[in-house]
Amino acid sequence: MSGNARLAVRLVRGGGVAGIVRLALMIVGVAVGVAVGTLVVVLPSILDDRADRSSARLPVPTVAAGGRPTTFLFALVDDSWHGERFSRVLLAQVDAAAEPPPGLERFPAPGEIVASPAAAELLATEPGLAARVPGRVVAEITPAGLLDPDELFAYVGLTPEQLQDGSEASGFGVGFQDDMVRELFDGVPRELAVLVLAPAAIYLIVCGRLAAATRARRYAALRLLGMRRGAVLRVAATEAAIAGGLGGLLGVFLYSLLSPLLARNHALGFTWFPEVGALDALDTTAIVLVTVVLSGAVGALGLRQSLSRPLAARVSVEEPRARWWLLVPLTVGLGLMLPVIVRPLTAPPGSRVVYSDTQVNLVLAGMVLAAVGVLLAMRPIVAAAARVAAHPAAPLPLRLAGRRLSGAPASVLRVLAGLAVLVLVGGVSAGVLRDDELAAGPEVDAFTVTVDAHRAASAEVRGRIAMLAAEHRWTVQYSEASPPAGLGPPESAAERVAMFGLAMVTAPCTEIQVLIRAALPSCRSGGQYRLVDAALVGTADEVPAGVTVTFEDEVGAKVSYRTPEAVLAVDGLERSPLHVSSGVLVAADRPLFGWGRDVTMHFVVAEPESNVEEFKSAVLALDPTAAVNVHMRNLGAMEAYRVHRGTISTGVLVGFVLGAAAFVISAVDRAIERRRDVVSLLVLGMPLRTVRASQLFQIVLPLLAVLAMAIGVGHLAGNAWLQLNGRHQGWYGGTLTTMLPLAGIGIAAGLGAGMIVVGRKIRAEDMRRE
Amino acid sequence: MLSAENLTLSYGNTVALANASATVRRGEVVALVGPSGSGKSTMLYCMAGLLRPDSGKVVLDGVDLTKLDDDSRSDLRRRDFGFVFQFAELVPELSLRENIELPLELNGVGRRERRARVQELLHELGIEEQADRRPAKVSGGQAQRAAVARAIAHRPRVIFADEPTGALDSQNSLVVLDALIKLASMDDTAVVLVTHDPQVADRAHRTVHMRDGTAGL
Repeated sequence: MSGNARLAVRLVRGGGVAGIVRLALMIVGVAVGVAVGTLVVVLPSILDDRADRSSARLPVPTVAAGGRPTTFLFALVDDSWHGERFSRVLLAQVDAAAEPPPGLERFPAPGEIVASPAAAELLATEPGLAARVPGRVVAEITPAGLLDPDELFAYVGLTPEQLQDGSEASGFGVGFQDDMVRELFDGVPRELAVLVLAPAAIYLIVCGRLAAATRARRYAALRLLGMRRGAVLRVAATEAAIAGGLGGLLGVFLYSLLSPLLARNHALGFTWFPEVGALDALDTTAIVLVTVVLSGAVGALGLRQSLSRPLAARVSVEEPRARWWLLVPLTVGLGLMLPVIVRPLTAPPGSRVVYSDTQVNLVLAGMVLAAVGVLLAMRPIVAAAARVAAHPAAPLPLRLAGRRLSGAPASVLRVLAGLAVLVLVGGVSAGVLRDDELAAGPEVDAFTVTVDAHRAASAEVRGRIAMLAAEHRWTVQYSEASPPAGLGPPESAAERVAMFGLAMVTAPCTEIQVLIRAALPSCRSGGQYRLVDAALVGTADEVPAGVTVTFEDEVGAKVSYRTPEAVLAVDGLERSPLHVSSGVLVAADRPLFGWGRDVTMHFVVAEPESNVEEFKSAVLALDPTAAVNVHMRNLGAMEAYRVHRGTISTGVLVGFVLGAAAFVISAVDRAIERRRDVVSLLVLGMPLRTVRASQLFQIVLPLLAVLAMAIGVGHLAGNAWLQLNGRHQGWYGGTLTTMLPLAGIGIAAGLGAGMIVVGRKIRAEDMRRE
Repeated sequence: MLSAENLTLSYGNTVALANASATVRRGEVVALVGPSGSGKSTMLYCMAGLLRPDSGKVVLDGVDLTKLDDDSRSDLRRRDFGFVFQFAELVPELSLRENIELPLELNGVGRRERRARVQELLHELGIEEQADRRPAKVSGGQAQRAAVARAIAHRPRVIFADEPTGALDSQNSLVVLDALIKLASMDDTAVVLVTHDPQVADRAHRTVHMRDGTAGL
C-alpha cells in the first residue's frame, strides 16, 4: 500500500465516532445511489426482454413465412377483465407438425385451454370470465411464454371449423421486437431517472460533503505542511474511494433485495420475472469499479479550494446575500398561469374553454418558469423568514434560529431545492395523471359497447348476441366500398358513397329517438330513411336518394340496395352514440339483409362498470371469437396510465424519501459541526429545551417556507395543466392530496432531525479549541 | 464559599485528579497553575459542575454540586456562575451586545435592565464601537473582552476562567485580565482561573499548584 493510501486509511480510521458515522452515511449514500442507479440502468433490458417475449409468441402468418406451410389457424382476442388486459390466442391445428407456442409443451387440442397461472386462477374462481373462454384449463403457460408473472393470457384450442375465419400461420416468433409492447413502457426508465437519480445525486453529494468544513481544514493543513497537491488529491480520492467501494458492494446487495420486490409488487405499474433483472459477477465487478472510480473523482474534485487556497479553507465563507430579483421568474410564471387558473371560476358551469396555441404555450412557459422560480426564490424566501424570526423582540430560540438561517449555506438550499422540486413534480404529476386517467377512461353514466362477431359460427349466433339484454341497441352495416380511382377527393355525394360505403343503421324509431335525444315524428316502424346530420343537409356528405349500393346478406350473397327518398335530418347526429354523420336508417328490430358477417352490433349498457363485464361475458359465451369494444375505455391508454402512475408515484416517493434522507443527514451533519456552539450555550446554563427549540426552528422554518411555496405552485401548475386539456371540470384537489403527505414526510423528517441535539453531554474536550 | 474536597477523576486508565482539593472565598481570585496535563482544567470543570468527579465533593455554600441532577446544575451555572474560555466561545450568530445580554435574558432579566447593564459593560471594557458586530468580525482581544463581559453580566457568585488570556498577546492579556478582576471585585465575585502564565498567576490573590492531578498551596 502506498504512503498516500496508508494515510487515507489512517484518516478514515482515526476520525473517531464522528468519522465512522460519516463513513457509514457515505457508504449507505453510495449504496442507495448504486441500487437505484442500477435499477434505472437495468430497466431498459427488462423492457427489452418483455418485448422479446411478446415477439416470440406472436404467430407468424403464412404469407410472411417465406414458403413455410400453414400448420395452424389463429385469431387474437383482445379482452379485458375489470380493466386488466386478458389476451387470448385462439388456435386450431391443421397440421400435426404445428409447433406449440413458447411456454407450452404441446399444441392445445380443441376444447383445451392453456392459461397463465394468474389467468388459470381467475378462470377457476370467476364463472363470468370462464364463460368467455370455451374449454377447460389443462395446463399452465410456463414463464418462457409470458411477459410477466401476473399476466392474464391464454391459448384456447378450437377445431378448424370453429375458426374458419382465422388467419393462417406457420409458427410462432416474429423476427422483430414488438414495438407496441416496448412503446408502452418507453418513458419508464426516463421518468425514473429524472425522479429518482436527481435526488439520489443530491443525497450522494450531501453524504460526500459530510463534515466538509472539518475535512477541508484537514486537507488544507496537509497542504500547509508542504504536502504536494497531487499527493493530497490522492489521499482524498483514496478516502472517498474506500467509501465508494464499500458502498458499491452494499448497493449491489441492496439492489438484489430491492429488484425482486419491485418485480413482483406493481410498484412501477407492471411486474417482471425477477431473474431478468438479476446481476451476475461481471456486472457486480463493473458496478463496484465504477463507484470506486467515481467516488474517488468526486472526493478529489471537492478539494479544489483547500488545495488552491489552503488558508481560505480555514475560515468560514460568508454566503452571498439574497437578491430580490430572484423572485421575478416565479412571479412572471404565476402571472402567465393565472388566466387559465381563473377562467374556470368565471366560465359558466359545464362549459368547456378552448385555448389558442399561443395561450397554451404561454401557460406551459409559465409552468416551467414558476418551477424554476421556486428554486430561485428559495434564497430570498428563506432569508425573509430568517429576518422575521431574528427580530429582536422574537423569543430567544426563534431569534437564534433566525440568525443562523440568515447565513443559510448553499448546501442547505441545495437539499431544500431537492425536496421542493419533488413536491412540485408530485403536484404537477397528479394533474397530468388525472388528465391521463380521464383520457383513458372518462367518468360516464353509460357505456357504449360495439360487438364485431364476423367469425361467429353462424348468423343465428349473431342474432342471439343482438338480442342480449341492454339499455339500448342498434346495428350498423356498411355497404361494399370501391377503392378510389384517383388520389383526389370524391367529386359528388354519390361518388363519396361508392368510395367509402353506405352506413345502414337499423333500430326501432323509439330507440333512435332516445339515442339521438330528439323526437322523430315522421319515423314509422318498418320505414327506410336517409339519415343526415342537420348541419350537413345539402352538402356532399348528405347521402343522395336513388343511389345503388351493394350489401352482403347473412349467407354471404350480394344484395343491391337503392337509397330511399325520405330523409330524416337530425340535430347533433354526429355527436350521438350512433357515431354516424350520414347514412340510411331502417326502422326495424332486425337488419334488412339479416345477420350478415359485417353487421356490427351496438349496445348501451348502464353503469356500474361491472355490468359491462357481465355483458362482455354474455357476448363471448355465445361467440368466443367476437371483438368486443367498449367506447371511452381505451385499454392501451389505461395500461399506459397505470404504468405512468406507478412509475411516477414510486419515483416521486423514492425520490422524496432520498431527498428527505439527504435533508436529515445534512441537518444532523450540521448539528455535529455545531457541537461546540451547543456546548457553549449549555455551559452558560441555557436549558436543553431552548437549544432544541432553536434547532427545530432552524430546520423546520426554511422547510415550511419552501414546501409551502412548492405546494402552492404545484397545485396551481397541476390545475393549469388540467384546465388546458379541459377534461376535468373545476378545481382538482388531488394535487394537494399528493403533495401534502410528501410535505408531511419532509416535515416529520425535519422535526426528527431537529430533536437530535449533538453536544448535550458536556465533555472537557468540547470546551477547548483544537 | 466554594470548596472542592478530595476530587478524583479518571479518563479510562489516565488519572486526571487524585484527591485534589481547593477552595475559593467570596471576592477572592484563585489561580490554578501547573504544567500541561496536571489536571488544572479538569479541576476547574469539576468545581464548575461541568464534570462530575468519580469521588469527592464540590460544595457551594453548603450545597454539594456532585449530588445535583443535570437540570439543577444547569440552573446553577445560569444563575451563579460565569465562564471565560481560552477562545471567547461566543455564539457566532449573535452580535457582541447580544452575546453579553444572553445570560441576563436566560435569567429572565427585563429588557430595559438588560440593555443598561450591557451598555455599562461595553463601556467598561472599551468595546462599545464593536457592540453590534458579530464575533467573527472583531479581533481576538475584543471577542475575549466580550466573553468577560458575558461572564460577569448577570453578577454571578463565581467566574471560572480557563486560560482566559492563552490566545492573546501580552498587551491584550493584561487588559482582559485586569478587566475581569476589576469587574469581579466590584460585585464581590470569586474568580477561579487556570493559567500557565506566571504574570497572570501573579495577579491572583492566591495560587494553587497542581501536579499529576493533585493540588497544593
